[in-house]
Amino acid sequence: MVTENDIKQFSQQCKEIFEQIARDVIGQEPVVQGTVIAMIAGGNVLLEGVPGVGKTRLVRTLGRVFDLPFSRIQFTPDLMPADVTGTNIIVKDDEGNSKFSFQPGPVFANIVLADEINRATPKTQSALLEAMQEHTVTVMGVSRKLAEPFFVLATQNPIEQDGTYPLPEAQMDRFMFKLLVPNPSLDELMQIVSMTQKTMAEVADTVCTGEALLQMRATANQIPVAEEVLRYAMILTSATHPDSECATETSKKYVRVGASPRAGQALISAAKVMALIKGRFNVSYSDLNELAYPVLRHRIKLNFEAVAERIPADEIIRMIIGEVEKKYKKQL
Amino acid sequence: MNQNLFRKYHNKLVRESILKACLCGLLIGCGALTVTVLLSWLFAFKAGLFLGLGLFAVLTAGSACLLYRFKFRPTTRAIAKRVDELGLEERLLTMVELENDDSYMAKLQREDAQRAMSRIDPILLKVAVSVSLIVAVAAVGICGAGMTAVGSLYYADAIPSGVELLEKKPAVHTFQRTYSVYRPYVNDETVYGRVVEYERYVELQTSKEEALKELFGAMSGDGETSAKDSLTYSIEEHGNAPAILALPAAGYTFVGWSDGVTTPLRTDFDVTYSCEVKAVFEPALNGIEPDLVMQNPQDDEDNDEDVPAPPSNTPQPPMPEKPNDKDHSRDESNQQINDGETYYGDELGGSREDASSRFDQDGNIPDNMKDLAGDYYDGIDKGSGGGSGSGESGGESGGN
Repeated sequence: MVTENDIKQFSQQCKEIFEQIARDVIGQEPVVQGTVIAMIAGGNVLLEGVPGVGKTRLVRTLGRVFDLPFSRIQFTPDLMPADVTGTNIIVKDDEGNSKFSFQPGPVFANIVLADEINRATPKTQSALLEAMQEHTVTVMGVSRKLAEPFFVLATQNPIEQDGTYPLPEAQMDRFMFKLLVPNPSLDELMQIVSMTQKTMAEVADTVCTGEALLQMRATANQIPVAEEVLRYAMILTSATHPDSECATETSKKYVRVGASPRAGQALISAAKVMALIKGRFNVSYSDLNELAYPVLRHRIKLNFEAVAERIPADEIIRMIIGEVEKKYKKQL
Repeated sequence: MNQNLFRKYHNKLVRESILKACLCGLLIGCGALTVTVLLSWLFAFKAGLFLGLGLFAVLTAGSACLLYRFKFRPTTRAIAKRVDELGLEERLLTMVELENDDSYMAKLQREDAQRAMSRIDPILLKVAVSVSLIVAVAAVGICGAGMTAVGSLYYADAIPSGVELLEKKPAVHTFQRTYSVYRPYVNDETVYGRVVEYERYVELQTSKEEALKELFGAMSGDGETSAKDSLTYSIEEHGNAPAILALPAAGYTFVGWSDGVTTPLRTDFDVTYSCEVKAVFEPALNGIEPDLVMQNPQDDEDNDEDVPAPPSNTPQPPMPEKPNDKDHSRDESNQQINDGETYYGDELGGSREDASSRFDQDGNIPDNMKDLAGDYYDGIDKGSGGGSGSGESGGESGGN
């Protein structure tokens, strides 16, 4: 049951979270907002950008702001699954008997930074699958629940593709958002350089606890969604499939595989948070259209024609939104 | 509760809905009117005009009412959607859905929606009718008015029915080609030949006499007048005329056609205009230059009686002598050659004396022409066994 206090707390904490992040991360407002929305909605985030644009710093700052246990895993080709999940080791008890004892890996934290996730082998990458979706880790037949809230914030570099292992669709689907971290503007660059000349230290304060974050998530979940708006979100998701009944001309032409049902769930969950952050108590079409890009861009598999014509996923999503608005919005 | 909130928008949307329903009703009514009047005009059913007008009235009114009742009447939800389009981001739509929800979130949402709605000026909500509907109504309305006008004109017998129009064969453009015989004098009924259809002519050659009789009617080749001195054909555009043969009468030869064709047999292909073509004949002179044929003055006088003088502006091809069955010798003289051996009897008459006296009186005649005339008469006299004084004087002239 949401109370007036919950709403006020949500607004207040959102404001403080953004203020504190802004102390360490210059610019990148859409990325920061997307990351915070995903964290409140309980989703994982894949940050993609060239080196040096502040991906890792953003994740570290989030760890500080939310006052949550934070661990960083630098993914390399020789990283093993046990290095991520942890493993059983043999220890001797007081009586001198040997027994297995589980040594938790870095995944046992609330915020896990999987840095350069595409440099690890698929075997190691898949060690995160269960953790990301089920929030559990199974080692030697024993499942262990991860502490809530749990987030995986992964980064990857889109340029250096040699010696990398692109994430499989199954793992990509488990990221709620894929956020593109652009290069800072000239003004932002000047601010970054000025700030780092004085100190490289991160100065963001903790303003939100894990419990508060979970409460914010519960509050956002109570945001109502009109039936027509919900239908619109599902049509938008379904329209990415070239074979679906809602398929658009764009998806038929450029998309090989569309977004999964997880995309629809992510779209609605994130839209609720976004509406509440904007001070609104309902989800609107504009929320869905805005969030369609980070939700869908890593979930649609482009066909050869789109790749040959070098049409980016965002452009295809834009065309799909245009077609869906034109075709279905008035019918709803 | 929501109905009270939306009252200020409701009236405007009701007007919009009535307008839409009326336009759609007009569309249906005009369509029915057009089809009914068109069919009645096509199938010559005069009462169809009134049937169409009746259908128009009934269908327009009926469909407008039904469409308003079942399609266009604004519901609370429809009003909420329309007002949301003014920038309320689905607040009112959600509020309508949560109307019966008593939760705190629903209450917050309603308050938020009402606050947002209070900031919206109702005047911003415009009556919106799609352009395509207006265009469709205009187009069908014009068709309906047009067909009503057609039906009215048909009812007043001012225009034929569609069936009558459709049964008429498309007009084929034809041209008139007339092949006739050239007449040197306007009032002269004498003809020197005939034009015939070559195919028929050839076909009838099995018996020449009968064929000629068939073809020429009363004409027997002696130059008598006939009703068949011209042939006229109606030829479809780009069609071909039959083969036409210009057939001269006995004693005449074919000169050519008036349009320059020189062969007596002609066929005009790909006819694209009307015209009359005349066949020109002339007397057969058997090698003697027409200008050198000297005629007996008495004969000239006879000819003048029979043949009226040609008008000055009439083109004058060589005129043949009129055939004369009574004086057969004259015909023969035309066939003779001035060989110096033939006796002409009294045919010369006093012509030599006449010529000599003219030569003496007319000083404009050059000497060489006098010598030529003298030689001519000498030649004739030689055939008749003796010359005259005039011949001598001519010989003297020639010697000069």
